[in-house]
Amino acid sequence: MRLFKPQLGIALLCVIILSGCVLERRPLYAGYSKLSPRVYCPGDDLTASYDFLGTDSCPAGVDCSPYFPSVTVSSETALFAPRTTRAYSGSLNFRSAGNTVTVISETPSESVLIPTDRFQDGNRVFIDRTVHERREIRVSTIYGGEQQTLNHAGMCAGATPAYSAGEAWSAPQVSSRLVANRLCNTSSVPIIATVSYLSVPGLTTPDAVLTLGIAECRDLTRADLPVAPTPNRISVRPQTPDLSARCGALDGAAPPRNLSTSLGYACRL
Amino acid sequence: MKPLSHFSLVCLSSLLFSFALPTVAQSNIDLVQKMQQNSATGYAQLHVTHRPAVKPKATPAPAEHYVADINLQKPDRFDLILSGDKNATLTIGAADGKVIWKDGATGLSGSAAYDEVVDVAVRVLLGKTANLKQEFKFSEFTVGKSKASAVELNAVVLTPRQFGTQLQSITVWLNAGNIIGIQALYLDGASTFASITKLKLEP
Repeated sequence: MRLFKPQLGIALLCVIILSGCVLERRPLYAGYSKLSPRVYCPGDDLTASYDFLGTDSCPAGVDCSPYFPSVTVSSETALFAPRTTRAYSGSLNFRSAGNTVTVISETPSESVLIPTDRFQDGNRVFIDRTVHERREIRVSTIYGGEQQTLNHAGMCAGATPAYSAGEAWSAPQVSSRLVANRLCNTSSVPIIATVSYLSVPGLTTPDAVLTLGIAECRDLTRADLPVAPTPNRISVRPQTPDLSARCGALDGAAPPRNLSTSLGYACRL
Repeated sequence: MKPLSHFSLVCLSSLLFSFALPTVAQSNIDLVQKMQQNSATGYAQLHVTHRPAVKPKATPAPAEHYVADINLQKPDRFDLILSGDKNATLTIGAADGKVIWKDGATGLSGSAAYDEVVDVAVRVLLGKTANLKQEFKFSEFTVGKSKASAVELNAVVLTPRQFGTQLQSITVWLNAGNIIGIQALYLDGASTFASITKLKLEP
């Protein structure tokens, strides 16, 4: 059997360093390296991070340092000096600049080994994760406006039609300064929407109820309030009942048709 | 149809099969956990909307609609029939560590190893994990009865912790202690929503 480069390297590592090991291949979590927030406001601090462990850990009493991967993190536009760390996980904070930021993480080895506390035939079992040698992640500012589509799926709550609510983006996935400021009805029927706001200690903002025609948009900015609240959830229903829904039918039950809305965002100063 | 993108339906359905069993729970999160741990065999009919991932600078692909009939015997045996638009049907069966599928429209068929095509988070949900809180991060919220909702709805959000899962989150929608819908969000931006219209359980 022909051994390819990664397998050959692992085999050699086993022979030379480990004096016998059992490799347990595990896929790499798609989000093992991240750049957050994925939508930032001008001047925001960003965090580049990686994590090869996930829910696994280095077993107690085992020195994992010989197996630590070497990871170099740099940015396409030299926002910070390239930094190399040897660890299963790490992070780096830096100030954003420009409309997009691209961070590159490079790992010279093609796999990462993580010892476990399990043994097989007297040999320690290692988790073996094949890694991307070079990975680029790009995030953007709010420039140009951000739109989020919320899908409100039709369901049957017993015999009553109901619709799933949509949640607005929130930190840390997006900038804490990003706030939804416009709601549009992208459904094919007029709707009634209830906008709920994020709770802040000492401040409760009552829900806003909006009636929206087809393709109609409404400003969510609450100039009537001393502190601008942050919308966090949108629930909807059609202005007139969906006659195609057959909730509670013994045969041929069908939920109401899906509705959809769109949230527009802007950066808070 | 793309068969492999629909195996998450099994995940969505897997939470259903202990729901008719009377359960006393402190919260909706406890309720969902207890439901998952009660193993059962059963049948469900789901109305499914699948939204493919939106590629950068591309026009979003239209949502796909299916009626799904699923027979499931935890942990790893199921039959799933998807009847979709344009009379397309897809039959997927799993047993003995193997998954087979057949596309009714094209006649094409195939098979794959269960572990390779069934998402790791789905396998956890289909199993009997003692502590689901180690495998998933839980959160919940309530949508109160209002002008926009004739009923109170509760949502429990499960965020998978497993390496290799393609699922970003699973939201379970409940009304009066019954699951009425389940939503899966994928890491690539795709989403699947299953609205439950029929559920039959066998002891």
